Amino acid sequence: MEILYQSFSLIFSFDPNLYEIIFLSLKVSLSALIISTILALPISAFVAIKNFYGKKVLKLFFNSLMALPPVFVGLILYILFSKSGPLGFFEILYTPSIMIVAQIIIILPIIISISIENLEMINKEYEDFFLMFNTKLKRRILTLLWDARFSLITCILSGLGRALSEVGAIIIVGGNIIHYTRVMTTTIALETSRGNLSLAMSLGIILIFIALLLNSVAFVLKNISIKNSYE
Amino acid sequence: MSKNLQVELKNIFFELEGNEIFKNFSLRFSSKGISIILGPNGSGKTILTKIMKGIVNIDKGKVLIKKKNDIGYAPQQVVFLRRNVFDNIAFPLRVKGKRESYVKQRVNYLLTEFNIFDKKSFSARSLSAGNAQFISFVRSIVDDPNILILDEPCSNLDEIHRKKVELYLKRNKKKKKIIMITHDFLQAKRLADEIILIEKGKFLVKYNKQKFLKNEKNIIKDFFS
Repeated sequence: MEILYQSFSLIFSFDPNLYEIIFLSLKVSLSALIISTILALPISAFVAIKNFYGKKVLKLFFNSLMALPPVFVGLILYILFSKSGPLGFFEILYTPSIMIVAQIIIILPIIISISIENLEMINKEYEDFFLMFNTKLKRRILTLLWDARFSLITCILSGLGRALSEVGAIIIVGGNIIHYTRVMTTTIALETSRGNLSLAMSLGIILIFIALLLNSVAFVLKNISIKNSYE
Repeated sequence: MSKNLQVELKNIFFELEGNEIFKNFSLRFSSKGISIILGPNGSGKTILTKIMKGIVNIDKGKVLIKKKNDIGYAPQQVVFLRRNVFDNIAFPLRVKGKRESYVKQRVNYLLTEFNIFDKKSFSARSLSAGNAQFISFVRSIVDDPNILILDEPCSNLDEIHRKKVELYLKRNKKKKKIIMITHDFLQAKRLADEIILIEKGKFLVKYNKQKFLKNEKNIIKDFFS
């Protein structure tokens, strides 16, 4: 009970160290999310619309990548971007940039795989419709993405949830450096091992609050789409 | 294909999931006016319209159409985008890259002309079957196509909307080629310049209006027997 009280005190005292960690978490995860979304949606729409050799294998590949262990992603990036690694000249190890790269690798397959499923469903329904109006590929992609917008937001939010809760990769590549690469999840891991449970708990509460907020947004959007028969 | 003909099917072969739908099917439509296709369920009428529109590919044969990009089509199964009525009607124009000012002007004109302006912002997918079919018809003519293919466009419509569709078809039949499927003999009599009977993927016979009206009873009797 004492820990819980201290945690809420920390949150409502607007402790600058705590909020620095929260803002860095959001900055890293939202950057990863925006880049992943920009990359994922056209890829998903293309895969959903086009029939090509190896399509099933590609979908299986993206599905398999959803289960990619973050620690492994962190390890590979560490090897690649360490000073003696082949990409070491970028000098981004232990910076927020490499944390963004790590999160992109983790959430990109998630957004792609879930989006493909949603887009394929709508594309199947629209197939004759597109043929009726001789719709070109670019227009098809844009139409599908727009018409699937509500379900795609849910896919994107699940990517954000995954990014925010990720710890294995960013602790390896970010190094958990105070005031620089320390984010919510890595702080929770560190402070728990140190016995500073109130700080860890306050960040945990914030994480749960964000997760609830994301789910609520997804729920509201779903309801809007049902209400307007956009489903 | 002769100079005046707009639509002609030559020696069409088409199989669907192992079932032979058309075997050496040929049909020539008159160049203008309304051609009504009659036939029992499962005779291949809908697939025929899809072949003409290019939605399904034939296995063998030729589909000769003067301007393939100038066909308006209202399918039996209406599909709408997850958008409002205006955007659904506007879609064919936007696909063709028409200017947005023209799109607005044209769609608003049709919405007013067909007295459905109040439905402009409705979600198209929440419309009743009748309204959906009517909007689908309006969408098929939005680009003022030279060839119009309609698959049972009035099957869900009430009297008022059916009359609106028929009035449009009568007014435009001299400048367009209209190919329409219906199960309604009375409608066929009211509208047709030529009537085509098909059964089990086979072209049976083609009548002009006078011939059809003259032998109406026998035709109907033969047809249903």
